[in-house]
Amino acid sequence: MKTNLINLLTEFYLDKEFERTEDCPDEATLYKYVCSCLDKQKMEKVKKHIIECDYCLKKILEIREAEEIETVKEDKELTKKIYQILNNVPQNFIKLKIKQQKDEFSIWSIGESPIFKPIIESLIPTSTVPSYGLSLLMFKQDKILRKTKIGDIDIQIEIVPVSQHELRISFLFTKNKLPQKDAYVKIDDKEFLSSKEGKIDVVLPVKEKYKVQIIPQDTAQFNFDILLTKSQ
Amino acid sequence: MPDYKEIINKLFSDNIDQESFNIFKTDLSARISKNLSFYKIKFKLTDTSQALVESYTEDLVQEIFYIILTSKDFFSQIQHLDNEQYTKVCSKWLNTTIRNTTINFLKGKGILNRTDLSSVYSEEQDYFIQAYDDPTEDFVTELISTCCIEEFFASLDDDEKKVVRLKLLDRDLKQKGIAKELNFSEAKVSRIFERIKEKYYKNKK
Repeated sequence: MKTNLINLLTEFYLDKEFERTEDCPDEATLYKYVCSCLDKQKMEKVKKHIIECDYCLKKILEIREAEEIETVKEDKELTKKIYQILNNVPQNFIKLKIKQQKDEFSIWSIGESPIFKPIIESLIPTSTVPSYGLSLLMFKQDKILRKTKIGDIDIQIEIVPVSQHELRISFLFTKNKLPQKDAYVKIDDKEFLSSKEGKIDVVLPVKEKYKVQIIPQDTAQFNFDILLTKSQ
Repeated sequence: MPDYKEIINKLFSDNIDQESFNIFKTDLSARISKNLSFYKIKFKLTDTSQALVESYTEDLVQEIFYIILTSKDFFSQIQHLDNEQYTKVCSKWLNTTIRNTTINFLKGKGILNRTDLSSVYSEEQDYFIQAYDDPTEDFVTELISTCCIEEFFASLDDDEKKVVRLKLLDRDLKQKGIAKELNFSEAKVSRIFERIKEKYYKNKK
């Protein structure tokens, strides 16, 4: 089978991480370059830089690959599902994240929930409370529910505000749908053991960060931070 | 294509009407959907991986939306462009942001790793290969692994890398054009091509 070195090098660039240099143009300039929205002199200057710079070339190749995606046939069902998700994402929100070593990802967004809103406002000084105009177009979410798996143990994490100053964080551990007792959770410096129903219920004061360590069984553990952060 | 300048300005001034917001969400949904479909095909995700991606779709969509909302600086830097240029830049930025977020997400969740990239070159993926066909045929070669490509790339000197970068930047550029762009003689470019091929075959073995 024949293929093309240019393809291989393109994939190589797309996969590899390169260091940004002080001379690199900003992101907007690279997009303007790709769209020919710069004057002739600047176009030449950027091109000259790209020929010398792996980081910027990678950025250009990313933009190109993304263009290619436009030509893919749309899966209408998936689009509909995504639209429904977007309908539930508020513009201004407190972002609750799970943060691991290399894997940092938001897991929940809290919008105009009548229950969460006081908590959001208690974390943000009044003067900087963002407008909730757009959020009003969207959903109201009162509970955060997340399911994950460590080894063969299924874990359900639920966060519910008890009051303006307290959150309840609950864990449910199961193995093959049966309760997993003796699972162990450490939040900041406090330790908790699951009941015979495989449950742990903890009520904690609202704050910006909780350090969580889950040890569902002897052989596996999972460390992460729950962060409440402002989106703006 | 929606009028992105109007929509984005309304979005960041907290003044977006429901109709504009619906247009924005519809357009964004289609882009994210196409993106997920693209990577399912490109990286030949297994059923298990696809199920994982589906279970994380909500997180991914939220993350993309979050990135858009926290990229006010980027949009202010393109504010001076006319509507047509703005929409063009914005469209590419959205596609690329969705692409990069998806890739980081797939890697972060362990659904995708370096070795998966080899699947890009399988026989079923002729679509990608044909799409990149090089008209000059300067670089037509046989299949090699990603690992060899890394060693090959590391073995290139500065001039060879410049030629490679220029060729990646402009696939249609031929020897003469490359010589002109880099201010090299055609003979020099020809020698560079030969050296690149030699190094490539050496690393392939």
